[in-house]
Amino acid sequence: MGMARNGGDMHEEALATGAEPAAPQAHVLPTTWPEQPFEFRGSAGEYFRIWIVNLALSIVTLGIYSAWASVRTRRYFYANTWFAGSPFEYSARPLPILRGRLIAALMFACYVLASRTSPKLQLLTAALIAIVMPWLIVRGLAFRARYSAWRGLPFRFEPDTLGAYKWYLGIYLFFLPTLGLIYPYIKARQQEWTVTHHRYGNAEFGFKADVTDYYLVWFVTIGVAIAWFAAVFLVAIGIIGSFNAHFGRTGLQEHTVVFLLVMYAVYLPAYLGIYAYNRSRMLNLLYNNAELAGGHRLRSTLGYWAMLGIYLSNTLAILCTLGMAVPWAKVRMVRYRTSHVVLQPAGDLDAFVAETTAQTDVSAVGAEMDSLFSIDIGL
Amino acid sequence: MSEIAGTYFDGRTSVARPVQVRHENAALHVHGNGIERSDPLASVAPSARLAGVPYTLRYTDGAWLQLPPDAPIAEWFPRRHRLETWVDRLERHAGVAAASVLVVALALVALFGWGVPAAADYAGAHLPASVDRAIGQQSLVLLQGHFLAPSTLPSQRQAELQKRFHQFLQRIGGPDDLQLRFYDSTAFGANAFALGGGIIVVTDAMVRALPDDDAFLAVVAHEIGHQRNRHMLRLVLRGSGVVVVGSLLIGDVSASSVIASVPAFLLNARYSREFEQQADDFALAALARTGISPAAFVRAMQALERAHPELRDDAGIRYLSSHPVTRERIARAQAATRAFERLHSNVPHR
Repeated sequence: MGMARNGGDMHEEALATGAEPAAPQAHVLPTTWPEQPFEFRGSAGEYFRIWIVNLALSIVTLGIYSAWASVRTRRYFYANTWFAGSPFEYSARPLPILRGRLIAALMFACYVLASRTSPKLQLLTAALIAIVMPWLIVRGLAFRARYSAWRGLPFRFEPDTLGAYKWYLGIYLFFLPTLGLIYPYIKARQQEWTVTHHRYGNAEFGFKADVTDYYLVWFVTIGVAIAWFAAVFLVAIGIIGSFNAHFGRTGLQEHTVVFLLVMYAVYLPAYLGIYAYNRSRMLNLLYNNAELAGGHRLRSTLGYWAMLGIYLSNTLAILCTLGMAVPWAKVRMVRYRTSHVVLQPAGDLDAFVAETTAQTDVSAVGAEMDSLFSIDIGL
Repeated sequence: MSEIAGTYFDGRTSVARPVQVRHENAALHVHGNGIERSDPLASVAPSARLAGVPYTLRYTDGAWLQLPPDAPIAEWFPRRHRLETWVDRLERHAGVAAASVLVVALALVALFGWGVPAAADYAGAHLPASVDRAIGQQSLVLLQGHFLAPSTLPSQRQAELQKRFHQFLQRIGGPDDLQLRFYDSTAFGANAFALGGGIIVVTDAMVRALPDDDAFLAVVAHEIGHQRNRHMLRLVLRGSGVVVVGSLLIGDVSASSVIASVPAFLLNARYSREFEQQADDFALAALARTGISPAAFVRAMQALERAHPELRDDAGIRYLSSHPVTRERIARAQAATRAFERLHSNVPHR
């Protein structure tokens, strides 16, 4: 899902895993712990310069520099996300990312080419991707967690490949027999699997999901979709009708290109309208069900209309400025999302400790692949 | 030596300790809140400079030191992160940002206007003809299932046109392995198109709409132009190139796929228009070479326009359309006709 990447995904993982600590002066033990907000301190103007300079360098070096660009961008978003007086930290090195990126680009090129030359090849490559995808998801999560940190302690993702195959491939065998009714259940389990395999220091994340919440979200999503399509259909009929009344016999349907443009203009709000609902509700479920060892809980209050407003205005701004508004759009989305998550601590946020064994390096191939193939891990 | 306020993390706990930091004799001295350490600068790894982002200095034992963005790290570690220090200077310069906008715009034009097409065509030239054939067969199977029904043209008429097609092909020097196929299609109406690997499809409605056999040859010559230049394969390759290169660029700017589909669509339309024009040029030259006046092409275009009144020119859609504007195609054909008639001034005007 394309829009999944609109919101500055780099930093979303930090948030997904980013449940932690409190003010340094918390030595007078209070009985209740004050809520700790997340705060994004970056600015669109500052990020615009970083973005445009790095984009230019990436293009003139034919993509080689893009690994450095990606590290600088992620560092900017991580380090501007503050929690309990400390910023998050992104510490991946550019060279492994460049290597991962080259491999991922090669595989992506094969996939795109195959999917455009023959339906048979397309099916084959799609099957191949489905088979490697769970592995990619594990590697991607492991890479991002490995190089995310807060207050000097890194996050970690427990690489459970078997679980990934179970929840991102095997379970789909039941999709058709249940006529798709199992889908919300799958989504709940995927969120649970993702969250519970993360660690901050040696503290494990827990997840308490009520599957009925997920069914509710998906049924309402269908309702929202029906409402949007009904509205869009009426608007489209109106436009075509008035066009035909204006231009007589050769109706709008005949002007293929104009017709396509009109369809696009009415389809876009509908698409975003449905997407924003599902995305905001699923993210709320993800954060609200997560818990960090010791009982620290996250609370996410993303609003449907606010998210939709940001998606719509971002899209319009990006289209109207021929892309120059991308940094502004991204900063807005991240700021909104960050400001709607808080942590309800259950204890001293200074009390987290590191794992006893040091982490080894994680290859970047998985992380680069899933961002190219737009694999939506829903964080 | 002046001291800087920083935050120390021991790498074992999540406690943030405010400390004072001092640089002296090629060593880093940290003290405060129970921390007291001095380390040679060479053993400390600083992060690169980035606007608004605190520095992180990493010790070999896993401890971190966080310093404010304005700390004089560049003075302390003059040799670290040379590339990123240079990039950071560029990022802070308003003029460079403005120049970057220009560089990006020009580079994108060069990349998608020339780079991607050239690379795709180069790759295409090194692919065996069997790839074209596979693509053509696949598309034909797909089309036959949904949009193409067996032709209802009298078999005698079909044979006649086949004969003229092969004669024409021979006179322009091939390629010999082209196949001309007639289909009845309500979906396409009066239309003709080339599929990869030598298949040329002409619909019954197209044959009926054309006023004479020379106009038919003009249409077919255009499709032969597509075949000769392997336009179908090249369009697939160029389209794929746009997606791959675009995804790599967008990968980090995080635009949505909804937005990204607009430039991809416009680019594909542009590549397609370029090929259509090439095929037109080929057709006009081929007609003239075989002694047929390019006026036949004008008649074919006019017949096509009569059959599809909805395609009548609309200047506003020029950049959205996969074909050049009909008026321009006709004008080019008329210019070719005049050149042809100057050469064959003894041939009476039609």
